[in-house]
Amino acid sequence: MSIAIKMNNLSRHSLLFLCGFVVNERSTLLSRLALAVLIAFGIGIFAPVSDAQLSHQADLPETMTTLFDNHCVDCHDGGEAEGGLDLPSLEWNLEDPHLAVIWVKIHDRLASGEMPPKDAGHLSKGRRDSAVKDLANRIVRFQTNRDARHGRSVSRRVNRFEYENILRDLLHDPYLKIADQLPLDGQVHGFAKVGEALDVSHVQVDAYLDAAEFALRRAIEFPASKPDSTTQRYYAREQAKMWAGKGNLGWARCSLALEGLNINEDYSFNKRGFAAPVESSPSAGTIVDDTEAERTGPWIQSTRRSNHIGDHYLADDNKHTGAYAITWKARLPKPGTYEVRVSFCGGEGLARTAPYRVRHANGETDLSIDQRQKPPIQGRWFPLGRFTFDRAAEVSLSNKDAQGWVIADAVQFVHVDDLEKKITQVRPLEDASTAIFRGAYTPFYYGFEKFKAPVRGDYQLRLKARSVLRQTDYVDWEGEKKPRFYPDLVLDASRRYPTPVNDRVSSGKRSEPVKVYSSTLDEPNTQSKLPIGVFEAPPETPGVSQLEAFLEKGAMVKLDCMRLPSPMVPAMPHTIQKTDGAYPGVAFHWLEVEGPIVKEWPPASYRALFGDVPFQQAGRHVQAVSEQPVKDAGTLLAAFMDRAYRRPVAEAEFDRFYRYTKQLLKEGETFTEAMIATYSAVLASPEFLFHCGAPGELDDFALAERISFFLGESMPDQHLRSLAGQGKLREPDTLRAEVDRLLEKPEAKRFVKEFLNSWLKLDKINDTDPDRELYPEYAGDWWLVNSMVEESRLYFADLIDRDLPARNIIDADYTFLDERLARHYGVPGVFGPAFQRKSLPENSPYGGILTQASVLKVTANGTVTSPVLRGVYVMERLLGDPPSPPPPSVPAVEPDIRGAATIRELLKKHRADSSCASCHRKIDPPGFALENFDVMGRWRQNYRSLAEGSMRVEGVGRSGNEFVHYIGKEVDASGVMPSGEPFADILQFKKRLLQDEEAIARNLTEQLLVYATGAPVRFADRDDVSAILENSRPSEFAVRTIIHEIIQSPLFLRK
Amino acid sequence: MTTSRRTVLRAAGVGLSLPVLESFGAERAKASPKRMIAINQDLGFIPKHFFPKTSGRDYALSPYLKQIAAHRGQFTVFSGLSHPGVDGGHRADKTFLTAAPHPGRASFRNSISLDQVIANELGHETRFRSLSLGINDTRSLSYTQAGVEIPTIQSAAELYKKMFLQGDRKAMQRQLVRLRKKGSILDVVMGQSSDLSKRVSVSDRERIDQFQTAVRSLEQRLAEAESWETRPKPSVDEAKPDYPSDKKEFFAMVRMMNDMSRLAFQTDSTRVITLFLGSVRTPGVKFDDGRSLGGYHNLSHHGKDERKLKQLEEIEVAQMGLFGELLGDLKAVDEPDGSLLDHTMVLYGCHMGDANIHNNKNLPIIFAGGGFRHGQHLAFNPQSNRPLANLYLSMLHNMGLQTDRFASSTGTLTGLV
Repeated sequence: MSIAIKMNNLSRHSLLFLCGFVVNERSTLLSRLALAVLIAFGIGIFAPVSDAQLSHQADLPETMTTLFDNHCVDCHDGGEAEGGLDLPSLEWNLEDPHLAVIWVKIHDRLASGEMPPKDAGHLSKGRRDSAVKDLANRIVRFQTNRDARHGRSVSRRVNRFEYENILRDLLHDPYLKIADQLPLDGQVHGFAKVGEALDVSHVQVDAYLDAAEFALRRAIEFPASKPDSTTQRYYAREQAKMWAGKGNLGWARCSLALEGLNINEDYSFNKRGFAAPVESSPSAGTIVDDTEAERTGPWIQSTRRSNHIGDHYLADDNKHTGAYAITWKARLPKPGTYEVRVSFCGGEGLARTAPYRVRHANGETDLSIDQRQKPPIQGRWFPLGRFTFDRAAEVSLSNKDAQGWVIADAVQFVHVDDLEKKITQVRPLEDASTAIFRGAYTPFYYGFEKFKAPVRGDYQLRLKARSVLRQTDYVDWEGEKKPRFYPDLVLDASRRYPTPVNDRVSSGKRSEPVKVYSSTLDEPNTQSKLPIGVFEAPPETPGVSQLEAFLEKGAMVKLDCMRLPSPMVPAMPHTIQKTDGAYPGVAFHWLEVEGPIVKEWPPASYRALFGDVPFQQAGRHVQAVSEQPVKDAGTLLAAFMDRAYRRPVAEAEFDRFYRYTKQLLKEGETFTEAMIATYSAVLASPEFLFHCGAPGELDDFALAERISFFLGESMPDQHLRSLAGQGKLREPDTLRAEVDRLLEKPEAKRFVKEFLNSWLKLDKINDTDPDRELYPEYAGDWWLVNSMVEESRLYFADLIDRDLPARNIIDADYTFLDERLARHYGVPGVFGPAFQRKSLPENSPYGGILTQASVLKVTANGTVTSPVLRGVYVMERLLGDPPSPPPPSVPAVEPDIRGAATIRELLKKHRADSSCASCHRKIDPPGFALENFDVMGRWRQNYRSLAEGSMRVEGVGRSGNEFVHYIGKEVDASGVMPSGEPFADILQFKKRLLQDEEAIARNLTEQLLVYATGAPVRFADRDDVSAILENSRPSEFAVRTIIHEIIQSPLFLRK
Repeated sequence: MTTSRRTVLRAAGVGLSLPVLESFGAERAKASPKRMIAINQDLGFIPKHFFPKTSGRDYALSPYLKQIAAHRGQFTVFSGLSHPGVDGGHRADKTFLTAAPHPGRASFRNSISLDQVIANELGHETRFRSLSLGINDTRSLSYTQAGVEIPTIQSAAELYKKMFLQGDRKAMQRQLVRLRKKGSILDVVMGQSSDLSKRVSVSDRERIDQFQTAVRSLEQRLAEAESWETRPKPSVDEAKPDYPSDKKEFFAMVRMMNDMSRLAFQTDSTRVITLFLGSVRTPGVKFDDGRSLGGYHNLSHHGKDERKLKQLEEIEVAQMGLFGELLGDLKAVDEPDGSLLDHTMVLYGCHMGDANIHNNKNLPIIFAGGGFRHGQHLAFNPQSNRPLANLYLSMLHNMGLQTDRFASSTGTLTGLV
């Protein structure tokens, strides 16, 4: 049945009366609302211009058609018409939104004088003005008429994020996640807020039913008796994913019992602490290193072999002349028999007959030792034998007839009693820690998996950790490979693969930021986990940080050392970051969990559904047990519907659902099941899902709804609703106060997030990854990517908070930075993961949304930047002047990263085409000006290429991959504004844009209007938009002022 | 309470499926049903390796087509096909089977996909109206009448379970209760929306009407699901696949999804399948010989770099090889009147002509099986492409759906016989 037939069955009057949807007949607002409806009705009657009258071009006045004939059709005619505009066949039908856009464009080109061009015959000002005015009147009349019948916006269903938020608020379950279960929403101008595009199909309805049931059952999933809070400590050494045990993943983590102890030994743990067999430690007994020995000859210091003692070892010249000699002398703690051990690393090419001499209480003993063998004790020590000493002890070695390189390192004397008794030292468990030397990225995750949250709820987490540094040894690179590293990486710049030495770990020199996540599933990437917070592991003394966290049942606590690189391959020893001469890492001691901390009992989400009805355990869930199920159901359902519908509920509406509950109860369903089924029905009903309103002024409830979905992404809160109920909301001062109140609420963060996700496309931030060959320094750097988005959100929230001018979208002398982003932007003096407002150095290209890394990343594709894509983005999103799409016949420019030509040179040919030039005149300036920023938004002087360039760069990237690329041609970021003014770079370009602050403010206003009202800004809305701008002008178009003015505008207050 | 309507619907669901029930019987002498599978490999192919240089029946195979040379007589390769008005580079994936214009614009709205047109007409005859499958990406090729994305099944193991694993009586009972409960909830919802649609303004009513249609359409599907729930699932010799979780096992995943698709057709569990091969979201690939390559998406932005092109070519050759395996497997299944491939139209291609420039013209398209006289390269004008929807219209006719138009089609595809 078509709409037309339906309309015939209803008189126009009764239809419009029903549009008032005065659902509560008892409402005192009845008369008020009916009046509003009649006003709407009146417009419909007294300005009766039917669609048919406007639908042919023949209806255009002669002045217009003559103008077309005389000045336009020479170019704009037929299939090959200029700009694809074929005037004679262009239908005058504004019902078709695409045609409407074209007619508005014709108006604008005429009005600005851009068209017709000078060579198209002289057009007098009078004729131009009258044509423009006439066209404008007609378009406005059409749209005003349409609004009277339909309203500016179409009723719409909630989008998936709003659905999630409403359920969170309705069920008091702030961490509910269901948006991902719902299909993607259609968008208009990038916003999922416009009715026409928010389609519904069986897929959605099914998903709503599933999502609602899921959310409702969560609300009854808790133990019937209030869980006790406990405090429990989980040691890092107990975690399979952290403790390295006997073996170790040396490059990534190591177990630290006590600094200086050999980690390869067996430790035994018990309740008292852990026992380390001191005897077998490389530092046990008396050790004399080569540095303390008496040396003859030009011994060479070396660190090439990793298993030496102390800072280095000594090597001779392999000439076996006896010119090299060394004597280690010791004064032992007591007389007695000692085992004497020497260290010489071992390996091919070393002395086959190294002559050692031991001086002991009974004289001297000469020994010839084969230094090629692997030292048997801990891979370091070779036992020369047991000797008796009167405390003075001496071991010497020369290179005479040694047959190979002689290595002289250290000597160890261990008393035989210690060998047999195995002295163990008991240390508190606290001292055991596990050090991690990399970030978390597949396939390497770490965290406290032994802890699983017993119930869903709030917990206090305390983490004990400290930052550490681990020394390295080196293995030479083979051949002539010269690794080179970008300064960001602070990787080892020597010609060697660094190899970590796990038993030489010392205190860190700075604190290390560690991100804490909770996760229930074995999710494949860090980002899908729920971030709890960031803490800093201090150097020197271990610090205990406390975080409050909401945890799902079964959630584990996972960690990520944010600053450390994340090689994307498991065994890649040569990718570890080096700083302060060593590898930074974090030593974790323990996690202490206190909780669950129960603030409300029974949980608020239960009370939202079942009020004070008592409950009992039923498996994982509780079951509400009602003495008077039918009566209780009525009370609970009425309260629930009242909140869910965001307006008073009519008797008939209530009855439909209540009948269902009663029937289910009669059929033998339990009280709980009957209620859940009924609630599910409410949550899938159109009254719940749709924002409705009659054409004309919104009623107070619809207004409350619109404000709340704008600034809080969810249903109105109690305060807003009660103002609507009292009919006070519409008063300008109340409205203003409410907006200020809502912007202070935490829910305003949702608005900032969703608005920026849509406006700036920040939800696309992870769509592409930087190419690892061209940009090896960015691989797996989630800290950087997350910080980019955070900067934009903080910045925009701050524009609202401090009511700062809209020109800050283009440029500012400050921004919000954490350590990672500050390094990216080259701003000194920011440390740690916390964001701060920071003044930018003079002439910094950063500051302003235009040059935020997030924007620069979403406009690039990971491999190359395109001035075209960036230019279109800036025109469309930031300047409000979207260019026409490219004509289909023009082929796209093919990206070329071989380095022979820059994108700008490739585009030159393209722009020479006259059909391209008119749009590129506008697109190119912002595109070119941004060319100094790479795919991640960092400043560059030169492009990078893969085949040719002035310098070859090779090395190992952050992800562990070896890379080669070239420093390519220099960036040319100059251009010419459409007005003809030249600019040399982004700084000058920004200055040019700032000449028209109103344009920047107008665009922001229009973007916000689409978002807030769910309707695109049309021709007829221009006067209202101008009024908003005029009212904000005294504040220099400040952002909060603009939001206020939007909400006070008829565009917002009417449907 | 409107249980009566529910009862009618449920009865209708059973009634509709009765003929199929008969055809499960021993003498399945009737003509084999027609099937369709559409596969999109979302990074496409390097054009110079994909498209043959000559056209007609005696065209010379291109390097990539040599990978499927064994099936030369069973497929047609096209050049010069695309969807008019479709732009947006990657974003055109959602219009591959819908042909809705301008997916790249901020106000894009999608329309119904080819498979869903078929499913709406013929889907009631099988346990699954259609199957929408995806690998390494949650995006789907299937869209409803209202242009809403139909979620995909992401694992061959899950698909196997849905198709072949019979739950015990209790599980079946639970499922039935669940379906009926959903149905009864919809009854309440439906009554409500009927009230609302009387109260809202004209343009708003369109929105409410669409919602009502959606509710009705879900009711219909629930009724069907209910009637299928009580009937035994087909049993197959193949074991449940051990579907990998590592995204780099892409090729293994494709192979398993292909196997499941073949089994779905063989057991007449469905007649319409779409399969989205999410190359873009595939971090890297492992070849059969154990080697692996990383950064598939970035390789497609090769920027003409020789080394990247070489690696990309290797991956694309493997993709073509897998497609050849699917054709071979379909051909190997005998049906009373020919092979399974003879009754299955296989559409394989991409919404981008060249991923390096992200354009949506001159799409790489191969069309196999379905009883057509294949074995040719049908070349259309590379400057002025023929609508790909013309091929879709031909496909609809092949399925027995006599319609004049599909989306941007201007007729059936000339030259395809």
